[in-house]
Amino acid sequence: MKNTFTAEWIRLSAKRTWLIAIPLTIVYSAILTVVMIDQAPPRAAGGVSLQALGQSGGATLAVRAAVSFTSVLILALFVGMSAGSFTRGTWRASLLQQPRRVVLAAGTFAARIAVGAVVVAVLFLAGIVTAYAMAPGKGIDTGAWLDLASWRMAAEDYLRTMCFVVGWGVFGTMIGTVTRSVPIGLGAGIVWAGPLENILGDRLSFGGQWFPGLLLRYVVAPETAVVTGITLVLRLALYAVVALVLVAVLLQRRDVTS
Amino acid sequence: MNAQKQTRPGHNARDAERVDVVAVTGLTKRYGRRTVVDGVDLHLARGSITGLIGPNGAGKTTIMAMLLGLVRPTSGRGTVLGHDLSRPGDYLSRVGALIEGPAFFGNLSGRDNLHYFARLGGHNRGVIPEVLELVGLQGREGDPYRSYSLGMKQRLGIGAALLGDPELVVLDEPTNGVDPAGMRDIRAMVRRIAAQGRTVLISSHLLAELEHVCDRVVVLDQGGLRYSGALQDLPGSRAEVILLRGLDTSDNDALGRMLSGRGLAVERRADGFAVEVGRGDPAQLAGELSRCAIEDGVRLVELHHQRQSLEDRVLDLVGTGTRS
Repeated sequence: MKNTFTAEWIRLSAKRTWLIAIPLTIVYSAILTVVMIDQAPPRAAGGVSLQALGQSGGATLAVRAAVSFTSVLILALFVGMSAGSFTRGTWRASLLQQPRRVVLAAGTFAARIAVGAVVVAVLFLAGIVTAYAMAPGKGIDTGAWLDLASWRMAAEDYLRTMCFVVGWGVFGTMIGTVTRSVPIGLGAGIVWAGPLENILGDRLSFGGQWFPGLLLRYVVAPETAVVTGITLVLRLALYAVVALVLVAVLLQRRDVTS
Repeated sequence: MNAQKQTRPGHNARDAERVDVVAVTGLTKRYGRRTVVDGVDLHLARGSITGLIGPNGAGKTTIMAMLLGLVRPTSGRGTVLGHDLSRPGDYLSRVGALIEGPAFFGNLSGRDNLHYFARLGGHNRGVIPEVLELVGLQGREGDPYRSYSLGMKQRLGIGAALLGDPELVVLDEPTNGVDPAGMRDIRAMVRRIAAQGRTVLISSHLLAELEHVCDRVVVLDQGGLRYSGALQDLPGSRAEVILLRGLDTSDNDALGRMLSGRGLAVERRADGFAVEVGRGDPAQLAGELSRCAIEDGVRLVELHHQRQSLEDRVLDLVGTGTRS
């Protein structure tokens, strides 16, 4: 698995990738943070408000809340990468070098998540810098942003965001593996994660309780959560196990043909 | 199955597994009711170059995919490099393959693609410059893969197959889409690969291509085995002949008399004579005829050995070969 991870990490972390990904992430983070802070109400029961922004953890609050808007983007990336490896034939070519299919898939996925972790770190840093830049203009007190509680909350926000990325990554990889087609996978994934989850989830109490995309949203936007704590963790773990088993079974049992 | 199989004397499954790099029997693949490969036996001797021949849909790629663990056989058993066919993970590190066309990352250079696959397989990346030289991509190794011509892509695919210093090299249609000069290069490359002591299994529907590189052929049709054996032993419908033609009418008349007096099977043709080689050595017979012509004062302007091309002999076995 180490070889697979390293190969994929080096492939993805080519200079050109960073030259595109880092500036885009910085701009994306800055725009989202500006919008979140600019639109923040003076006070709110939960979520982003000027009052909450002025407390410990305020520096990462806006960017963490903004991450929930990136679900479709993460899904599309993972569907594209996994389905694309089938359509381009690189999955077949890779199997000729690493015939253990689950090891190949796991190492590749881990490398993609590792690249995601770097991108999320940049996302947070850019969000913090933007928040610092905006704070004086909005009358936000940044005095508590560097205290111990803030560091702890920043770490928690980062982990929540990574959980969100891994969740959508698993979901996207599953769709890509099932469909083995980029357009079909993207179509199915976007329709489900966009309109279906959000419209049905808002109207059906079952949807709000069980839809995987909404459960993942609760991780980064706990103020909107219908399900919390251990129940949320168990339901997400259940989805992850089902998705990973499905992917493993499909990869193991399917013939690899063009 | 009406296969005209040729087996070596004393050859049995146990012997085959000991000496053959690939020894599989009864290899079958069905998709629902459709049988794609039907009980094929395949034996590849170490160091041989074996051509897998057949029209489109004959099952060539599926057989290769089963040997490479990409497709699970419906039935059949055997060994590849001494390991059970059902456990490809045990032997694939010693096998290099290009199957169903080259597949690389378009944004990476040829060299970076080879680095990626070498890392994936845990191979020594120090061999990459040597591999690039062997496949003739030195000087272009830094260019993005997407800028490569089809021939260059095929060569990079062969290069990737050689990364792990494989004992068995499986090449599926390596000359597909390649121009005549590129085909010649790939032919030479395959010979170089075999000269390094590797066993090569190569498929192509361009039979003339295989005729130039293979010493054994396996002919398939509609998933079934039609022939397996030495290339020169592949049966043909027309006899192997020596063609002779005299300088003018008087020479041709003298030639006719000379040939008829020697008890040879001779056919008179519009522009000369065709002498059947039979079971003898064609080179020896041609030499003998040349000597006789000189002794009899016959002036020859043509004397050459003509045998059915591989294409003709394969088409005799499998029909027109237009299925796909």
